Amino acid sequence: MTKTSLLFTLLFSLTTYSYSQIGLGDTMVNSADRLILSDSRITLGGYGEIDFNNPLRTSNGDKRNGSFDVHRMVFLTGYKFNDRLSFVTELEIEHIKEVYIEQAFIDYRLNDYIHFRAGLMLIPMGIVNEYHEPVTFNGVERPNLDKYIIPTTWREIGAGFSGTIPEVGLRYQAYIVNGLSSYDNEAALSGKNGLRSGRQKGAQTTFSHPNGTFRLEYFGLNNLKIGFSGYFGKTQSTLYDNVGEIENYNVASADSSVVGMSMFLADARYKKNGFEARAQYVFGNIANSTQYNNMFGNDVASAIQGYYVEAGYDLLRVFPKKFEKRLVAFFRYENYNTHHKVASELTKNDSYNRTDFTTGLTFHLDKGVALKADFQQFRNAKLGSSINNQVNFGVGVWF
Amino acid sequence: MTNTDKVESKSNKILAKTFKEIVIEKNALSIPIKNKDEKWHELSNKATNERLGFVETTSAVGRFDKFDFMVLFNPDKSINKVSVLIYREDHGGEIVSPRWLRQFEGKTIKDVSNISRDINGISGATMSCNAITKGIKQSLITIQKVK
Repeated sequence: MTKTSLLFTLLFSLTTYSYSQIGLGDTMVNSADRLILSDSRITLGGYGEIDFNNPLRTSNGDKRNGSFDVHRMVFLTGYKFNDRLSFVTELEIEHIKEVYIEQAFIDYRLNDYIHFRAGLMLIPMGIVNEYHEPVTFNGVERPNLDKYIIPTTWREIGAGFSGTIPEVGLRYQAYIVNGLSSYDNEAALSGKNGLRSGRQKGAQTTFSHPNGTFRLEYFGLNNLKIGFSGYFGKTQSTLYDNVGEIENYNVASADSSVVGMSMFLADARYKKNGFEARAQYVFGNIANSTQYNNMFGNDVASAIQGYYVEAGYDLLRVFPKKFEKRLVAFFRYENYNTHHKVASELTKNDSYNRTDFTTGLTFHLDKGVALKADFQQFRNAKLGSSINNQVNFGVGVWF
Repeated sequence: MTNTDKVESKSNKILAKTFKEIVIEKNALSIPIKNKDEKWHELSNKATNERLGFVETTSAVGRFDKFDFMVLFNPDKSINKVSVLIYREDHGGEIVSPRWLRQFEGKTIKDVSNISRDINGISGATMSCNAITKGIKQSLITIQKVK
């Protein structure tokens, strides 16, 4: 109770303080709320996305319902034990009713260049997996590449090191983690959804094989950031539980219930004077897919792949008056294929080779608030397949 | 060493490097401050008494944690240099990069209204970029009170 009331007191004092600053010009309004907490051991923050998705009529004229959704509300709490050691956690509520912990890790600063981290952490694969606060990306919905190829929000329990070497413009991360599950009393991987259903989300996970992941980012060039990530390891399976060396059959079937993953990713982000662009490419090799598919009758690919390119421009820059607000018009082209390659016994399903086109506006009312509107078109490579269109509107906040 | 000592010693090192052979005299300025970590000094050449500029050491909050930085002003109150002295959290560590901080050099009170637009942020370090930019904006306003 005391902790809760302390949080409320903090929240309350933060609100009243911000209000008292309004009218003194915009200079202090926003920094004040963070300043007031700067000497506190507790940091509070969060982000949220409230969306409206409205699919348009199908090509054969069928009407489809739209949906309003409090897609995500995330509450961040940081606690600083001392100058080097802190704990960060994000509590996420999806669609009002699903509760998750998105991150929960300790961060120990060994020196200016090395931090040790342990706990539930975001896997550094993909721009949006790590930076998914709604004001940091265009479009009401996250890119689908970051759903079907990279199972965003992908987080695992583990430990490792991260840090920044500003002198050479390099940031790095390297972690050993628990991995995706391929079998948890039923087969989790599929041709359509790729690895997505294998996410264990840190909840009573199965662990049979350690996985490794790393990311390098170079920011030594002005306005440009490029990144390269990798992820390696075998998936986890409940079939390894209680398997003895003598029961060879069980060992073999347990071995068939896992796949080997090697994923590589490259991305780039550019931002200058109102122009912004980003691109991402990811390739994932899946070993042992034949044995896996034979055992479960599934259609998991032997390789998945996808990319997107996106560009945007702040339309308010064309006016001579200098606005603090930003109105970014953008487009994004995505192609992602969860059947990029299949083993010889399978036939590629072309409907898994998907292309999305998204164009719209992001109106940044403030650094932390964005109103979004966009149009999306979804196609796939299967002959005669229908094209689906959708409009989305959303509110995104980050504080 | 306490945090305040660390900040001062790091800032003194940067000043010594900037002004090379000159022996600097630091005199505390008393002006109204917004942040309790904020400290202002006037810098002069000990030998000639000539004014070299002003230096502020202060802090701002990134995503989870505060960081300390210094702003060195020329005698005309334009920015000579910005340096991040202590950066604690892992997130947003990119802002320590001297190359990025060079964007603030030469900024004056005239740039205040557009500064958050003119500074190009770093992807993935948004909160820290915004925080230091806001802090520097305030510094440019505060220094106007110096006679």
